[in-house]
Amino acid sequence: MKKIYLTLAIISVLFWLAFALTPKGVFSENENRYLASFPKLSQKTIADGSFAEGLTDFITDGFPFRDFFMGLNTAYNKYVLKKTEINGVYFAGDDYYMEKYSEPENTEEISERLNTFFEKIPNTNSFLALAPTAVTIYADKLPQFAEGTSQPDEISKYYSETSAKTVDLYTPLSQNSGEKLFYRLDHHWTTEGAYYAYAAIAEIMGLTPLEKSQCELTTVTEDFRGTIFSKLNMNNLKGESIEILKTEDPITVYYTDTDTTTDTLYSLDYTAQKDKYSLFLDNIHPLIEITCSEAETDRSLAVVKDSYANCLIPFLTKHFQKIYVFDPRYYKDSISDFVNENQVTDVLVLYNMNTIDNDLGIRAIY
Amino acid sequence: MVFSSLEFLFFFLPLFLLIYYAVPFKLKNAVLLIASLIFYAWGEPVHILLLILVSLSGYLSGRLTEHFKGRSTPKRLVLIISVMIDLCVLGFFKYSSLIADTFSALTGLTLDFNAPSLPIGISFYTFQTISYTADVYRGDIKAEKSFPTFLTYIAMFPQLIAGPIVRYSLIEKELHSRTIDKGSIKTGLIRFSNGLFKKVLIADSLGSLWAVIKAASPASLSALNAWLGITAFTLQLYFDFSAYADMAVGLGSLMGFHYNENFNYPLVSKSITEFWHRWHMSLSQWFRDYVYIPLGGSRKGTFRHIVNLLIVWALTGIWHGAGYNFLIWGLYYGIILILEKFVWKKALDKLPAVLRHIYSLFIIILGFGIFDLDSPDRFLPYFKALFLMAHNPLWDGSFFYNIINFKTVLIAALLLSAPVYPLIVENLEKVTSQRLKAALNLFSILLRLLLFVLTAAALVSNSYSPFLYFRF
Repeated sequence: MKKIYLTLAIISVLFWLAFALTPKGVFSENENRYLASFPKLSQKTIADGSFAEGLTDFITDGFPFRDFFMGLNTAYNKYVLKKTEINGVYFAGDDYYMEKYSEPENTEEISERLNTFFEKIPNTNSFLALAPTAVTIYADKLPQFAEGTSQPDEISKYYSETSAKTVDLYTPLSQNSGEKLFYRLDHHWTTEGAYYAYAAIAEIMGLTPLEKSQCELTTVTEDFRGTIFSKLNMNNLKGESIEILKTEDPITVYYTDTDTTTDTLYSLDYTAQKDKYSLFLDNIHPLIEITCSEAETDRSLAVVKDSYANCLIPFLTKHFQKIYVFDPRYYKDSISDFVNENQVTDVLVLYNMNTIDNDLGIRAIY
Repeated sequence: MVFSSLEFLFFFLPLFLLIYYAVPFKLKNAVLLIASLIFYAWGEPVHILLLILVSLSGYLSGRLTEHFKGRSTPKRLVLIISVMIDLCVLGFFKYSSLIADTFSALTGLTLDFNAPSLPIGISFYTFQTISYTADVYRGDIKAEKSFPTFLTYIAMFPQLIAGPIVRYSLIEKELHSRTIDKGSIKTGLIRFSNGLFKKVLIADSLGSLWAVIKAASPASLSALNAWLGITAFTLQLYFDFSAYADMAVGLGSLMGFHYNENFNYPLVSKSITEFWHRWHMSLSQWFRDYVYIPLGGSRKGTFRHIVNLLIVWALTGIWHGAGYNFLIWGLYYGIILILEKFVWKKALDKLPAVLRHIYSLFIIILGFGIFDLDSPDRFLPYFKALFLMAHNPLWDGSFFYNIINFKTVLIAALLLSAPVYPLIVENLEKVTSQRLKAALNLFSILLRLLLFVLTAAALVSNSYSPFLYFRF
């Protein structure tokens, strides 16, 4: 009995020590959130059960070697159980990991919202571009018998309802699906993928897009493991590279919320962090004003967008003197008023098919 | 708190055991009682008062019954009041919203009624209290003299939230004196870990398969996929529920208690009668002893016998949850059991074993379809898909996709739902070579450690929630 007791005591104490040494309440880059701290202790929190709940979060968030255990679970599911998906991510061919597309729920509501928005800016050329994601473009890489996506149908639904000019992004992307258009471990398209979308958009806008050979892409990191990696955490997965477009014309980028001005579209400091895709247009800002005085037209453009646009906008700077980039989740004023007051000539709404349905910003634009 | 959680496995349980083993026997019940109350209060601090109240009523009824020894009228009154208290508590907390809904549906009146939240384990501890009261009344057991000891019996955390329903007579002796030794700890650890692995690595995984199929639109569901879905649910429920029983028995053994078994490989039954002798046994026995037999059982003629069976099975159904689907599910079994008893028992006995297994599984699996698809507009389309009654395809890609994804878990579940594990253990015990025995022992310890690490990994992953709204 004594031996058993000692063993139990030693193992428990060692574990509790490991737990005590694991940092608490810190920011988890992998999960993009703050981990739970010790809950508030009071008569009220005990009585309503919120103390116990908080303690549970504290324990699970502060569990030693959390990322390791998470990766172990993914590896067990993939290699032992031979599953073909986990946490809404397909283990697809060619080492691609692709987010599943869940049935959209808000198509009608958002369609209407967009129409109202376009109606308010009658003197502007309006464009709507919806980007299919990797599961659609790389459908041939999906596991056997995996359900295909209905993204093309959903895009058609949006396009048939809108008064804006629409841009077919599906065709140019799928025609070039032999190239690396999406990241293997992140839900974004690559800069190359963004190029094909840009070319299609420019065409519809009546501009002459750059030839692909005219675009000079440079690699800024080879160790990018993005949001999909965070859902898997399997450490044997190798990072991939991010390329950026070199722009030659002088450029001014003004971040209105932080009141800072720079001469570059890229915040390369992010290459040292986990969230490397944020290097494009410095992650999140409600409104960014980009001025390119040597642009080939005197048109101005407002882009209402999700993060897919961040690596595409550099291609557009050559064509517009002024580009206003709106993130409607954080820009709370009326975008249509802004467009009318500043006599913006063109408006582009650009979203990928996952965010268009669950983004709370686009659902509330006015 | 649940057993399969990080806070229980890595904090509550080791801390409890370290204290429980360290204190002298006199204090063990006190430690167990305090730990049980904390365990219970973890999720619902308020409902702990209810638990104590029901226990107090049970305790007092026991003492009063003995006080009124030989005087049948007051004794009977005590019994009736005590049982009424238990049933009213159960009725109010578990069934009042169903009753209110039914009332509104029948009369068209809307009631301004806020249904209380369901206290965890209420169905188990009220039934334990009733069994105690009835047993004291019948003179089968002596009333417990100490209220803390009685409260320990009712609130003991291993069986508090998911059974088994433990009779007082079973652990009366152990409540007052029990031995804990190397053997009981070893047995306890093995049983507990078996249950833990069953719950986390099998039941939860099967649950995600059922969740996928259940969420699909039944109109486009292929028949094979629909069958796969309710089969997965049947296995999930068995592994989940029997895992809790394993963990309860294991924890009991760690503390020196011997609980009753609750499951005995029900899915290998050759008839439905047999199934109910193997599934959630403590509940069937409870209904037999405290409802069926007091009603007269089979002794008052065929008609009463059938009525009694229907009453018992309606109650059994509704015990599982406050919903009409559970009532239907109970009556479904009542009717099948009556048919087995009176109509096709002989014919069934003559069938080859394979057919009897198929017959039983068909009824069991279909039954759990009623059990979990809780409204007619959900189960009717689903049943049409099962029997190809609504132009559903026989199979589709999704069926094969599910099979590919869950094949390992399904095969493991199918093997372990038959008594394969005891067969292996039995054969291993026959090994005589000491060296081989030592090697096997080491192997089984390592295997358990590996499974434990995988269990922890699964539990950590469940808690892992990337905040990807931003993700963009």
